[in-house]
Amino acid sequence: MFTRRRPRKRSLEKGESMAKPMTPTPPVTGDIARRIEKELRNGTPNTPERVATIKRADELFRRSTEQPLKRVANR
Amino acid sequence: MDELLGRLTVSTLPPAFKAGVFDCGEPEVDEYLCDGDAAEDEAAGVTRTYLIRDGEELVGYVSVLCDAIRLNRDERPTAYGVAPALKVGRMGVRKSHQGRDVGSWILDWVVGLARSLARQAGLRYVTLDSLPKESLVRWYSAYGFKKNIGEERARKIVKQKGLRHTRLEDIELPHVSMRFDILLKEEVAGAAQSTPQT
Repeated sequence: MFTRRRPRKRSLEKGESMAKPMTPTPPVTGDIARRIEKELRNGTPNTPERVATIKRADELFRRSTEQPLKRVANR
Repeated sequence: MDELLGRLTVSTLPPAFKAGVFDCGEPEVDEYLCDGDAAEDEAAGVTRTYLIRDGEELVGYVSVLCDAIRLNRDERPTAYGVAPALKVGRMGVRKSHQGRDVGSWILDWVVGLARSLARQAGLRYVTLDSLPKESLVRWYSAYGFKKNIGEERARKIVKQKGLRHTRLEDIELPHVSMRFDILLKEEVAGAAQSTPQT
């Protein structure tokens, strides 16, 4: 499901530190788990900024999909 | 609004893509696109990378993958064991275009993508692991992301490391896991049910 832990050729050759692999979000516990559970059940409070962000995101994504995502030249 | 934002377009990653030049100031993020790793992950189906362009010029990119926030069930049973998410695995904006809200534009696009996917399958959050730079974490927080570290866990770290006089917010973690709830309150079924009927 997630990217493999792959040694980076160039990094190994040069002896540099390896790039951090993409990993799943670590499990949450305690207060934060309870807070997320509450968010899942009741939603996150709407603030004017949050509402504006989500509306902007919807509009931007809608506009971007009006023209199908194109593959571009390899450069 | 900067005219640049109105001109930005999103395109999918061509096969075997290697960016000739891409410099966002973070070598790890640059190399992912320049070394062909993004194309390899795309071919394997483990990430989807989108290029952000101003005309023909590449100004940024974002790689996304499926994720989930697992809620610890050891302490007590929880109604939800997992919160499905779309993760921003890598994201970068060229130095020449930084400070012009391109990063926010990309996040808006990812939130829009997540909300679109959420109509087809369960999806509740956009997640990311921020580099542990205070300015960056503050920037994500200003956008609306919340840290996925509870004070309880931070206290344990303080105790384990003997950092008695360290403030919780000063603890530096390798990467800062963050989340953004993609649903408005009225879109959550539970919230709608609890709304008094008039």
